[in-house]
Amino acid sequence: MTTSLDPAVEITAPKPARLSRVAAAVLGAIRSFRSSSGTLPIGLSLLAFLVLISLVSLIWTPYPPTATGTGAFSSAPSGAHWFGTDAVGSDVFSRTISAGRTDVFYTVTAVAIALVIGSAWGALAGFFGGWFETVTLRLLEVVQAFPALLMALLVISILGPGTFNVILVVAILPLPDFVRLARAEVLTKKTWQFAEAARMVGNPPLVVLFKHLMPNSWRPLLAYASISAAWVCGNIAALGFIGVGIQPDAVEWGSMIARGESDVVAGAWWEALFPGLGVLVLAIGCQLVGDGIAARNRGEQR
Amino acid sequence: MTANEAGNLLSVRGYSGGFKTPSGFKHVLDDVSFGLRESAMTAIVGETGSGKTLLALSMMGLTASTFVKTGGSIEYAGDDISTYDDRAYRRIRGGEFAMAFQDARAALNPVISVGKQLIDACRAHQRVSVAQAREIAEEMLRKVRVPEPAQRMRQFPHEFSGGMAQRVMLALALVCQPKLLILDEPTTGLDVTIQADIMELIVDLVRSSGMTTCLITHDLGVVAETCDDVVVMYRGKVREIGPCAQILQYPEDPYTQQLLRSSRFEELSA
Amino acid sequence: MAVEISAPPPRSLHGIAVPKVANVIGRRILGAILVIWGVVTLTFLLTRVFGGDPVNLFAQPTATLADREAIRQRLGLADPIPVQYVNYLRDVIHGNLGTSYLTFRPVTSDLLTRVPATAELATYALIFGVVVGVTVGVLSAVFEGSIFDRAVRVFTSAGLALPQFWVALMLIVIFFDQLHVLPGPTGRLPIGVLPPPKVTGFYLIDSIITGHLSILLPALRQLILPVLVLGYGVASPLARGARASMILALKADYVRTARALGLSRARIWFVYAFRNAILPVITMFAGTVAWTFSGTVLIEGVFGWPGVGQYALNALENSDFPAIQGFVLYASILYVIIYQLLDIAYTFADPRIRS
Repeated sequence: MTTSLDPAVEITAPKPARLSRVAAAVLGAIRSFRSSSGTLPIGLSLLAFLVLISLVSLIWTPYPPTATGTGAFSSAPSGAHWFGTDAVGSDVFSRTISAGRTDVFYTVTAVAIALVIGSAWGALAGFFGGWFETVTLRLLEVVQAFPALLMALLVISILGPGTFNVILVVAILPLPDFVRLARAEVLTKKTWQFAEAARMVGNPPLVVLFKHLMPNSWRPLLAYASISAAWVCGNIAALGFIGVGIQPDAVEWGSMIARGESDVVAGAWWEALFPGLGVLVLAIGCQLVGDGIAARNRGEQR
Repeated sequence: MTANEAGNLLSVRGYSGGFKTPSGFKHVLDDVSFGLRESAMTAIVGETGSGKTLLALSMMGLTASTFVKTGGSIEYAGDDISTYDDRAYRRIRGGEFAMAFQDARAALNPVISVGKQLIDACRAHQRVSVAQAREIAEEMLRKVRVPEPAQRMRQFPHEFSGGMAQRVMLALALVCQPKLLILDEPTTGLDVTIQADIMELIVDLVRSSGMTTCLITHDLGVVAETCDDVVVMYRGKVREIGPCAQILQYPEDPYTQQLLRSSRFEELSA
Repeated sequence: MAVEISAPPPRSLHGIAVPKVANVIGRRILGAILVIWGVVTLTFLLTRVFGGDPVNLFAQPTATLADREAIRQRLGLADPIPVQYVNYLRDVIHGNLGTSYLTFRPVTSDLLTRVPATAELATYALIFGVVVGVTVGVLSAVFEGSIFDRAVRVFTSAGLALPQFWVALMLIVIFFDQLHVLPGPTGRLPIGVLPPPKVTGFYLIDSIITGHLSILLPALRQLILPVLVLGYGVASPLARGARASMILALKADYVRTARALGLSRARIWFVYAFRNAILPVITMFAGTVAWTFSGTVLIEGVFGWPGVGQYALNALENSDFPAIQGFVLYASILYVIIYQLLDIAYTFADPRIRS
């Protein structure tokens, strides 16, 4: 890359420099994580813990999670079965930690899809305005008129079961919020000087939008992604509990609670306690991380 | 430089204080001393950041929770009220001390009618029925020259212009006939013609009732026309203090002189 | 004395509909109709256009093409899409939400028989949630930083993170299994108790009105846990919102003025600050209503409650598509109406918008 006085080259930084900036940002984040107090470290620790045990479950569980008859049916926690067994004799501990993979995967994927597609859509709507923006807003209003879980139930009943379908359906839930957030970000930043400067220099509109405007908006979007993950995972568990999309015998926390429901009412509390704690830890972890990021965003703006 | 201590309704002696901030303690007021002569109008003048509003809030006991007194006293009726807690202050606020704030429309509750706010203020200090309080409130609005007071009582602050809102603010402060009235920049932000009206109204009300007044302002013209004493403040310290006529014509302190010069007061008065 | 240009001549008294207010309401109603139309259209698109072929549910494996055509005709699926759409719109306007594949009765009538059960549960839960949530949130703000405040923040955070159906199960374990103080999840009444004659459909009210007071207590005991769980979910976001809103209000200039005037603390907190703080909470309340619709599906499932939520669960289990779609459509339309009403209520609550 030749050095030149051409402003167009200066504004769109050359690739190698951008990579090192990303690396610097990551190192900076790790450093501030160590020194910060408050909810962010707790949240990240919880999530790290969940991810860790999920990864452990990939290589080792006390019993195969789908194996039945590994012990007495619906037996209480004991030395052989740390979380007890369920109605068909599967080991609850093995199932719980394996289910972590499922729920975390669904949650992360769904939120990631909603974040990317929603933000792009919202950014475009805010940037270009006109009929596209109007149609988008009306569409959002209609989609958000459906209570979240009900929308999920409707769509999944139409699409049928399957991993992809579940992720797609669950991604729809926070997607409108990302569209609104991204649009709001773009609307405020559209008129700022650096955006105008980028335009004046000759960058095509899409480049201005995605290379200049959006990179400055990732913080609030990230904060919201984390906060929305907290309720998205609850909806995933709800789908599993109801038994649509996610098969009733799936190794997933909601499904586990459904399987143990009648036993729990009869007294076998362990069949529902531990999977539920899994959902709780995931939700709280995401919530704390989101609150922490949001608090830091506010701090930076001050 | 000492104020006339006898015949003061309220005396501030060596008052100092500051704010607790995350980056340490920030001193804002330093050894402030002056007295408010009874039935006189005392002006506290200074630029932004001189601490004059904070001083007023200190007298009222309305400082932020992060503000801490580091020394001195504020004497009223034989007590050091700077040591009062909120409960003790509630007895004197409204009934004996009153304050009219700067941005009247922001200082009035936007979702409660003006009449109700007046009635509440009235009944907080006098044992009157709602009907009686309403009459008193209406009379007060009439006194501050708000036209059609009966109708105006039912309206909300956002329906008032800046000048009208300031009159309502005055009515609120005066409805319980306080002994001390503190006015924080009552005319800032208003149109010039309205400013003159408001000041004329204030002087009228104050003279006719004989109440002690403390006017906080940066407008020296107003001070010259209306006030008896003046306290000049700069960066939390008192620079000069004395009778109005004397200070404004023969300032001794360099800051006061500079203030007068930059307000082009000398040109106007010459 | 200069003539002061005062504010525009005073509007009329409260309660008289000044043209501007009617304008606002009119626009809200129009907006609501448009959104409802959008909801119906989207549902139609999702179900008829993207949905699978329901003929397979009815046709025998040995059905001929002619048989399948006949079934298609009967289900109204033989017409071109635009015609189907018009028929669909017309049906919905007349309150016809289709016919259940399971019960072969109109979905609308199935839903209507079950509405009172859900309505009773949801109403009590919403009342509980609003009263507790707002009260706790306001007090939390007034006593900001106290132990109470911190406890509230923990509880409300948990309320947003906890899966409702799990909380319900855990509470059943504690109060029914272990402590034996509350009844099990047998629905609206314990086994063996008959419901009171129907007046409103609300068992608590009906038992009092018709004098069958012996039913009152059992019905009440069955309601405690479901109302608690649903109510907790309603209270949590409202408490957080009320707290945040109240904290802002307490810092406002007008509260300082109220203090300067010597008003009592109670009046300052609960009238002067509260009346301002409650406004954003009204808007928030709309969201919790939507959430309650979703919540009843889960709660009714756990507690065996014979309401519309359980109806939806049955429909899902049995692939009863008209029932699922009918339920979701009904819930969404109801939600749109409710949140528009709340919007209008907000317009009246805030005098700045009203005049």
